[in-house]
Amino acid sequence: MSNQSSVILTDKDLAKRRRHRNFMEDLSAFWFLLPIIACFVVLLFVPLMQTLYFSFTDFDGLSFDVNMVGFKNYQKVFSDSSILQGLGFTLAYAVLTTLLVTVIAIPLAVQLNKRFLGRNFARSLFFFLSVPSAAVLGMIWKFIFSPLKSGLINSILSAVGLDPIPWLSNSRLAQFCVIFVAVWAQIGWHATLYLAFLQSIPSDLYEQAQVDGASPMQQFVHITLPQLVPGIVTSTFLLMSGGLKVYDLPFTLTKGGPGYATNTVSQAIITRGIGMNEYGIASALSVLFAIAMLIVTFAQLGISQAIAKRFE
Amino acid sequence: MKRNNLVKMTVAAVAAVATIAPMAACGSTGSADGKTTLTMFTWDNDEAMKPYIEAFEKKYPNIKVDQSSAPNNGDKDSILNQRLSGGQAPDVFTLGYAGDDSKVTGGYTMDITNEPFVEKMSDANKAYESKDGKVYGVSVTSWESGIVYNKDLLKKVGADGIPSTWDEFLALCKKLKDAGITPFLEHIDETPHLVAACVGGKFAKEGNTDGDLSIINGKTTFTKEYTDCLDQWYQLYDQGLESRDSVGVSGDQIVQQFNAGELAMFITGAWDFTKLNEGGQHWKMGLVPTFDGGEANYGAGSPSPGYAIYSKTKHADAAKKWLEFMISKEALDLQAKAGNIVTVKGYTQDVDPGYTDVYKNGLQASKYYLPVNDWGPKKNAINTEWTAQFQLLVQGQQTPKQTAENMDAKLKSLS
Repeated sequence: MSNQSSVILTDKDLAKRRRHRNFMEDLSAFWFLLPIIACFVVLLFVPLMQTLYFSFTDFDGLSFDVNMVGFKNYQKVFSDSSILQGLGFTLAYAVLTTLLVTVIAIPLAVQLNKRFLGRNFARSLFFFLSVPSAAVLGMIWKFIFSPLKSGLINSILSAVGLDPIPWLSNSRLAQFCVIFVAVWAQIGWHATLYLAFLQSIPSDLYEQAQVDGASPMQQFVHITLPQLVPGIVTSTFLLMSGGLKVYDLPFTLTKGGPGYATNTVSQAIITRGIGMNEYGIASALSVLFAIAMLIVTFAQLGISQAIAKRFE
Repeated sequence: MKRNNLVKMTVAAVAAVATIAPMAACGSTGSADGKTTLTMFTWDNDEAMKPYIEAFEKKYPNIKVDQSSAPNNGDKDSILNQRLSGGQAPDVFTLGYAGDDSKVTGGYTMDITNEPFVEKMSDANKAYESKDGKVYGVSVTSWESGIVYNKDLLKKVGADGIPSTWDEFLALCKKLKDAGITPFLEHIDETPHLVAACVGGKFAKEGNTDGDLSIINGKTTFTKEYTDCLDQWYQLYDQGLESRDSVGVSGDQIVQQFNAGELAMFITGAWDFTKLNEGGQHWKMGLVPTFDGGEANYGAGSPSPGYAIYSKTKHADAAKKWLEFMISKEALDLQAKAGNIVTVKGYTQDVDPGYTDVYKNGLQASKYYLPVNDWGPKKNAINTEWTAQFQLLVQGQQTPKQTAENMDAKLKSLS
């Protein structure tokens, strides 16, 4: 005779047991996630809150004896022409480099995906453009784009009887130079990214299209591009976010000049904050810029997801 | 299964320790072999500092110097300020004008007034490194810029040196331009030395010993004090005697152009003598021409930055030894060899033959001025704005008067 009494479990008991089991699983997951959460809080959340606090103070970066100044720093940000110019160029830089790199990298990837002599060498060469740091590229291109006759491009122009071009001494041309170098340096890396996506497209799609009489352009538009949408989403996100926080390339190439023509928001934050001991103003600019970046990023992700759904 | 779990846990633990272990090296100080490690942050790069460090370490074998540097522009302040506020202050660092330096006013610099080596400094250098009667740094050199000219190119137009007045200088530039020679270039990534020379000469003639400080204190304005000098200097661009492309050019590129024999004149200081002597051109340096309304022989110049000790250093003895060494004959000889101009009491040197004129009639007579020394705690902000305004002026986007007015507006916004 068994001493065990039979246990009848109701639906409520089963639900309770299920909830308890789920909770225990969540708790296990939490313990595994705890180190990364701690890193996030210490390395990201705490500095963010500190920046927000300092944006309302006259903190000079050296002494923590600060006074609250309300929204004075934010007012200065919106009234400082150098900062506003920096914001304008930063946005133009981010949008133009994203567009240009995308438009050039996709056809480049398509070409690099085809068979030809020296294909591997060509792939390595284009990828190599992205290897040197942006700061080093800025210093090298500063010599190439020198507005003097002794600059590399101008010396070639002089040799063929043309006048030198004021590359880095004209505001518009200086902006062009910065964007040109940025696009030049990034097309290889992004073409490689697209190449990886291209190589995952089943070849029988193209075979069927050929049988149906589709031209190469039609194949590109109706097969290649839709299959590349996830790659485009990734690539444009990286380009946009990188473009908005750019600092090293414009700084080494033009130091933000002539005037403030190639000034960037990151340079303004570093120059005002650390260089001029105006941490309060730099913090206010950082907060505003972080909000702007969040808006731009979410908008971009939203648009990208809508386009991705369209091609599903 | 149990063994697998044990292996996984062991690997995870080792990986965690491997990730964290390098962080223990951060912030570690002290010596591993009984030597004192003296950390140093300088504006001169590793190559320039090498002779001094080697000589110092030879003299004091128990002290090892750990030196890092940043270029002499806004970067140096950014990097040093970061280290000071982050608790990673070097024992010794380069100190500019002490009168308004935040490292002095913030209590980060040691008072060395009573150290015996301080008395060797010249009065001008000591005043440069002092605030409220206390000395905070050791400065041993001074500089004054002049106009370097290519003797051969000037000879082609019948000239044998830099003219004494500004109008004559403009006429010389025109002669050179008509002969198909690029007359003059200067880099516009700081206040042009010609403008500083003009303003300094003007203040000297007026007996204004406050200089730009009177502008900062509100007694006068940039518009009133600078417009005339800007008008005179801008003639170089207005008359097409200097290319507006100088906006996008660095000092090194100008030296390269001069050494290639493609440029007749440019303005610089002793720091370029090594490159000029290696360049192969027949060169000499002349005093900046006298601007209208200013005193003669004035140039842009200043006592040079010196070395200071972090107020909370744990290696005060070693740091003081460094300062004492840098004002000793051995180090001063190295300075002279590098082409720097030593202005320490009792020390004489043979300067580069090309520099004699500026050395005797300008530097030794203390006929130099540098506006930034009088700009106070906001000097970095003013300097950045001045640079941008000069670039806009050279591009032709505004007039000299508008440039000065914009600076007054900027100064007002900083108060």
